Amino acid sequence: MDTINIRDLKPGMKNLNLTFIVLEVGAPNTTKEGHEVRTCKIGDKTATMNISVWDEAGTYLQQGDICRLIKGYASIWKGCLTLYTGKGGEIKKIGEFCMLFSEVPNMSEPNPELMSQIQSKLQPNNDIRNPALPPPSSAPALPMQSPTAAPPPKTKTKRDKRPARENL
Amino acid sequence: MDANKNALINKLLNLSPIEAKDEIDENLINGVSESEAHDTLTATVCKSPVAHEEVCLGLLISILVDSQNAARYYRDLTYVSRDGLAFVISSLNLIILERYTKLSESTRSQLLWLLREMIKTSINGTDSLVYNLLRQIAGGDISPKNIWLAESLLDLLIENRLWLEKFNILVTTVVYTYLRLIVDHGSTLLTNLRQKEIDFCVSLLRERFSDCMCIGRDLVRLLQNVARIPEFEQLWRDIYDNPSSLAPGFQGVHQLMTTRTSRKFLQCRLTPDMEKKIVYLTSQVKFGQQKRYQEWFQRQYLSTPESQSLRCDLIRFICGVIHPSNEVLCSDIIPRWAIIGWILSSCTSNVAASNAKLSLFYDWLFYDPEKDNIMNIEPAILVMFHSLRSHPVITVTLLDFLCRIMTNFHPPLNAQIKQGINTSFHQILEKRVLPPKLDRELRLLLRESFPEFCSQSNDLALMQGGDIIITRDSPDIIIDAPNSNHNSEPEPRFSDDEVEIISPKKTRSVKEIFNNCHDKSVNEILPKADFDSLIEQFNEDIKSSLLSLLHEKDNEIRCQAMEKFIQAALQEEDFEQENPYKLVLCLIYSLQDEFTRQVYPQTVPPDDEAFEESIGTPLFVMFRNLCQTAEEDPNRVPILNILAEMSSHRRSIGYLLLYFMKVSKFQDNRMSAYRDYVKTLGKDLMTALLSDLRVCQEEDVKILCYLLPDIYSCFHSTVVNNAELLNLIVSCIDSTQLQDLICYILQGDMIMFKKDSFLSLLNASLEWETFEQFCLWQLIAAHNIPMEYVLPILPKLEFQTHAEALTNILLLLKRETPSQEVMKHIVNRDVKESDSFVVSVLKYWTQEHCDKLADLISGYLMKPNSTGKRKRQTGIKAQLSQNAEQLLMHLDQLRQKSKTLSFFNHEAIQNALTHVQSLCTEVQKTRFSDLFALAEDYDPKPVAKRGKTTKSRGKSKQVEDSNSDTDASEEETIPSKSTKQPISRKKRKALVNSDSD
Repeated sequence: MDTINIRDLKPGMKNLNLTFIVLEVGAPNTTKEGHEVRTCKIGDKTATMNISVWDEAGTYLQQGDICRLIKGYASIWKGCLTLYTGKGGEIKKIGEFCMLFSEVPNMSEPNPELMSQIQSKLQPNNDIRNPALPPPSSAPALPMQSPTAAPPPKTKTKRDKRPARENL
Repeated sequence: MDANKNALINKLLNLSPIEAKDEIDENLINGVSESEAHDTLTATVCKSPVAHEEVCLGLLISILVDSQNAARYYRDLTYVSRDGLAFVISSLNLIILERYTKLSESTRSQLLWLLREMIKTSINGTDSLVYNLLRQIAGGDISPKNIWLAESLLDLLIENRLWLEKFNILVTTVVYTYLRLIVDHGSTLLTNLRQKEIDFCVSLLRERFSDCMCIGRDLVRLLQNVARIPEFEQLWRDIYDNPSSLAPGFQGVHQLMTTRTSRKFLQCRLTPDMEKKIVYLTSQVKFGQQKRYQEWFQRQYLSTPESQSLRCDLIRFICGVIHPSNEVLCSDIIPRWAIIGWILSSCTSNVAASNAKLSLFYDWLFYDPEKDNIMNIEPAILVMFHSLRSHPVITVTLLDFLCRIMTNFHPPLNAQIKQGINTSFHQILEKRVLPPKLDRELRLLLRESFPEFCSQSNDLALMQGGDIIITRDSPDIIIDAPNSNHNSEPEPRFSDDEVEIISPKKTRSVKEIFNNCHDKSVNEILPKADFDSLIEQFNEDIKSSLLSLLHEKDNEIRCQAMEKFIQAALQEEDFEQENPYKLVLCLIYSLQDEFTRQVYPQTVPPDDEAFEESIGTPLFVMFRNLCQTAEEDPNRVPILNILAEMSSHRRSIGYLLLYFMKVSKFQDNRMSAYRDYVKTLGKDLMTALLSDLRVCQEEDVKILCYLLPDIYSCFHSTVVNNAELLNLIVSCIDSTQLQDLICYILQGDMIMFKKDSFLSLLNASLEWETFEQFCLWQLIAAHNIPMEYVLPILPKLEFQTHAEALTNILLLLKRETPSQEVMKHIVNRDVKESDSFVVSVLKYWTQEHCDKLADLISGYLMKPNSTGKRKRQTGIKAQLSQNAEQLLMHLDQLRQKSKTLSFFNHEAIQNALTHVQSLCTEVQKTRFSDLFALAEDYDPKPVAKRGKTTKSRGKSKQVEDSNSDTDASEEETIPSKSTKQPISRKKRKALVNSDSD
């Protein structure tokens, strides 16, 4: 099974398998549909990032747990690269404590470079031959960070997938 | 089939839904399915070895999950097995060591049942199972599961006493285990268990004392902890008064204390899981990254009150069992002392803390280099040494404990204990546990930090072992005439080279230590014989002046000789060739005492005369000559050359030159002599300053502090904001010296910071020790650093990891009046539940600057969303800006922290909330519903009015849209104030009576 390091993750990657150690478990937020969602900080030897854990799995995760994610995907949420469990994927605890990790870089920190890349892709009249037309640098991240803003199509489809998984 | 498997797993193990079934589990289960299929065919199938194993495993699992038919399965198992159950035993050992914590309760009972059966049928190897199961009883844990295991195993052992006594090692392990557990079982609910444990231990101890003796000194430690229990009191009396009644060859406590406890006992009081984690921590985790691992370990094992007792087991384990290889010692893996420091500082009860300290020093008491290992005593000295700067309290309490234990541990053996501790110090010196350079640093630090421990001769009596008695009540320390001790045995001393050295043996070791890192001794640079022959090569004037420098006692005459030497050297024709090298060697030889004496005046506070006197020796005559020679005078070069050459042998030249210039007030022209000296060395100014000041810091911090104002004024552009220099300073100063520096700053004599690159300085400081960071912030506070220099670092700071910086910024903000600029930085911080930084600032300001803050917040919230890109998404009306949302999150946190805060009733806030609510999406409305409710709860009448004002404001806002942001918000606040005037007066009286306008 191919595994990937956190540092190599990019938005839009799918079918990801990786092993990580849980560093922080966030408080649960409840969605309108009643799902509990937790944002957890995870790390491996290359970097840290956030993973969004849904429902039951989240209630059992503890700091220091070593887990394996199968069939995950990476996407942008509120301007931050975030990892999700994909359709048919799962998080399994395989150990505790005995794993090294690197606190930096935190791949989920807002990354202006990444954002501007995505923005330029999203420009409807974006001309690929003219890459020297970056989005206004004043606040490149803003449209993505507002949860109310219509999310870029790519993220949108991803987000719609999650409830679909629950329906299985 | 799979469902069948899962059902079995659930019966066997207690896994949470997210836990992966690993290989061991899968194997277990495969085994069982096999056996069920072939239940009646066992005999035939076991012809091949693989099949044999599968069947055995299948039967084993059947026993563990099926209590009703277990007897039958066990009978089958004994029939079928061809290897005397060896395979079953090894599988069981694996299960016990790796999987025990995950076994379900019924499986655990079955496991105990199986052990009983195996003992009954005298299966070989059952003792190893009992041994491993004993390890699964966690120390410092009185949860029902753990108590159940302790009690069940105890019952099993009591029932099978005869069997148990066949295994010496198991007997001693059982004694060691239960003696330790008795301490945990003090609660009244556990009286029965405790009594059983007491009776069993006492009876084993009395009947098998010759076996138990082998446990060694840790047996004494455990017996001490239970000494108040009557049964053990009696045992102690026999140990003291009639040792041979316990065992024929037994001579008493001394014999036990001189026996080093085997590692296997120290190891057996940690569960396999604890052991695995501690081993991982000490062999894999880099120093600096251990924090999370420590938190996890602490949460799992050290968080309950009863877990206090576990700390001793951990410390004994780390000192006695974890002995890192040289590779690990040289790497950046977390050292043992750091882990022990953490464990010590996590002790909350006094008893536990003193037991933990005893555990740390335990191998010191009767240390014997022949039998004991230096690695057992090393952690204690390193904890003391490394805590000296950052956590001096730890060092003090440890030293205090060591001094106290010397006389209190066991008075009849005082002499031996003193000897043991002395030997320990000796070994530490001999084996170079402390790096030689640090050793000197330690001495200086000790002397500065604990002057009360040092005798008047400035010599550290502290380390002379046994001469100090500290009483808890009186702060004074009585020092018994230390010299009476020195005749028999050379005492380990952390003595300075300028202090007279007592035994010849010692002289050597101190010299050896110093040769490593410091200046070479005079004899090494130039042996006496060489000096005698070299000096013959020079002319009469040089020769005579050098000799009188060497032999004269009178300072006046020596200074004259120095003057004569310089004049003679300058006149020497071929000075430029090879002579300076030899000349300098001879000069250093003649001036040898100059480099070892204490330069800084000893009088407190030093007066001008004392300073003047301190530069009245021959070395300074040379500096004076240099400074008095005009810059264009060709004679300046040879003097500089001599100094540069000297500095390669004597590192203190540089800072002594600076010192001289400061005292003699020659520095008026920006220390040009020093600058020339640096040029002669071929170094750049900052490098030279840093290395000179570092030497100065090592040799005399007082001189460093004395020089600093001049360093900062004469070399201002070079040194200001230099993080390395600042770190050097704050790493060595104490509170008095910090006070001196702050006085300089307040008097305007010293400026250490400037705006450019101030942030990078702050960034660098985040890595410093706590005390160093606090010093830095004090220095910052002493300057008038505007808040906006500091604030940009805010987003980088983590509430947990950067406590020093955040605390100090908090205190600075406390004195600030809220302003737009400040608000911007504060609001930018991420909202985290565990982070009370923003909430604290906001709440404080709501008390101090209520109106101002309310206006600022409302201005912030009402500020139109000015991102042009937003317009791309047509069809969506005005939205909440991201900053506003962030602020709402902070406000929501503030609301949660202080539900009754009247601040939210403030007119401006109410308006802003209503306004913002209208911009929110549904999601945001739900999210901040509680916050918005504060606006809705409000008196309905004003709401109507407020609606109007909001509308009118909305209009004005649209007009102002084109203006710049600041304009908009400033103008906004003015009309809002005027419009609210008539309403607010009434309301304030009604609702908020705290304001006074």
